[in-house]
Amino acid sequence: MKKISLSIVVATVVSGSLFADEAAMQAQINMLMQKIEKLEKAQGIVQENQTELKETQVTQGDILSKVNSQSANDNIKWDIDFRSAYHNIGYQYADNAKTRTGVSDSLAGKNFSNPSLLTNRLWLGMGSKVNDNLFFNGQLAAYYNWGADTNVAEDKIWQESSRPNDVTVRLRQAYLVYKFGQDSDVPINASVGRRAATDGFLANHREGTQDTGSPLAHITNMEIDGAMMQFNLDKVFLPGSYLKVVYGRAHDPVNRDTPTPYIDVNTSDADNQVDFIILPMSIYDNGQNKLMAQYSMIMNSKGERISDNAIKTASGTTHLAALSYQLDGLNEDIDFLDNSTVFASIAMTSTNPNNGYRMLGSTENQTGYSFWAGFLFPDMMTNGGRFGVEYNYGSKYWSPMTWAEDTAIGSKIATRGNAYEGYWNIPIVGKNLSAQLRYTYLDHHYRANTTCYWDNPLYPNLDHSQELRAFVRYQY
Amino acid sequence: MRTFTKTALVALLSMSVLSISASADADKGKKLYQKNLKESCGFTGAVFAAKFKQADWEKAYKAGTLNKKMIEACPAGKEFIESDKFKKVEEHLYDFVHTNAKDSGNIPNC
Repeated sequence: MKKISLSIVVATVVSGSLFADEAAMQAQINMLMQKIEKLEKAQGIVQENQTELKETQVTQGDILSKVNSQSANDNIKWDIDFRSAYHNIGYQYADNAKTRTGVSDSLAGKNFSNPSLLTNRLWLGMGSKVNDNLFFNGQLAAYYNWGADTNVAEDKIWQESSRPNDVTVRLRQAYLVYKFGQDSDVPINASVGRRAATDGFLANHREGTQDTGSPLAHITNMEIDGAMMQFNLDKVFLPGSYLKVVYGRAHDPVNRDTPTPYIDVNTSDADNQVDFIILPMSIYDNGQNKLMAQYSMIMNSKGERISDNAIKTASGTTHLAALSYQLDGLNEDIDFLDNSTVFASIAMTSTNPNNGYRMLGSTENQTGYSFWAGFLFPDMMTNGGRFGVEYNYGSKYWSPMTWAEDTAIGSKIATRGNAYEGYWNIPIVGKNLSAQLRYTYLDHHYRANTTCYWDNPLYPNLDHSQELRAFVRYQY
Repeated sequence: MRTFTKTALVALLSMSVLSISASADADKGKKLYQKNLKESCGFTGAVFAAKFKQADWEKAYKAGTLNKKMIEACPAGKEFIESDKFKKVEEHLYDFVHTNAKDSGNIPNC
């Protein structure tokens, strides 16, 4: 009986203990279930996030594909340089003015002026780069005075882009550059096309442009079609030194409207091709001091044939040379001087006529000389604005190739006499919007230098010319 | 027409008053590089600027560590980059390297 009672007690205790363990176990199971439930929820959120991320990636991929399709094959990068200008120009004829043949000119002593010549100039720049060693630069240009006539009588240029007529677009620059031997001591750049040769070294200041072309503006300011090789010498010579060898063509009499298209069979007019060689050289350039030199030669230069007084005939050879120096930043410790620039340049030209021809009215070799100096300094009123003053002198036979210089009254650098100039370059919105006020006075001691080599400097026409120019310019 | 001339000049002079030119100057930065760093670095400013992307240069400039970034690009230029003069012209050099950075898309001319 005792055994039975003991068994019952043991069973009761054991079963009670078992019930207690079961409850605890159940509680643990419940807790685990809750954790699992939470984990499942968290996993669901993670999965949702992953799905969203995938969707976002797909969306971004789609956007990239659209950008790629729009721009990956768009290989030209464009820029704009637009300028609107006001010019007030005037000419005073000399009292002893003569025509080009030496006869007294009926305009002697008279003066003429245009107080409101208005112009627009658009340069649409384009660039394309395959890699660091192969690229292309180009520039389409339109430069006109308001109200100008087109070649077609009674048409005006202000309707030419709105009404159908022709497709005249001028090309100012278009050239490719291929660099090779970049690891050698003398890396070489090769280029061909219509090259940038206007507003070159030192002329950039009077145009309100910081970036300068390589030709020396003292003897070269024209758009050039040619081939160029540049030898970079700064590893073997002086810092910033290089030599460019340019061969180009300024005139070709061929045309297509003949029985022999593109061959000039009319040799009697001596209207030969005019080719040239230009050798600009940067001797030293450390960012502050810059010294450049240039030699040029023009073959078949246009002069005058003695037998029939025909002009624009291939009459001889012209040689030109210049040496230009610029100090940019006069003293680092004084802001005014640090932002000032001074420059000076000397140049000469020499005409060598062939037998039976005259150049500059002479059958002899004639040499002309020129000096050019300038000083630019902060205006102390605007942020980055600078005043500039320049002086030029040219002798009797001075005849540079600056026919594309942007001066409405003719190239001031080509003046045979004295030229004085003052200007104020004003940045308005950084470099994106700028303005300029410029006054130029040309004091002609000899005939104004506006043609090639068929006029005689000893036959004067103008006494002086002057231009006041104001412009606003947008660049982006 | 005198009135026209005067009006044009007054308009131009008035515009000069509006000048809000940013003081940083990439061209000036290029000249500063040529003068102070090109010889010691041994490469052109274009190569120097293209050592990093625009965002890299910008991040360093904003963090005040442009000097370290430039030393990284040109260790031989350390003397100038750590000089007082560098601090004075830092913004122009930054404008230059940012304008001509690796990913700037700039196309050189020649």
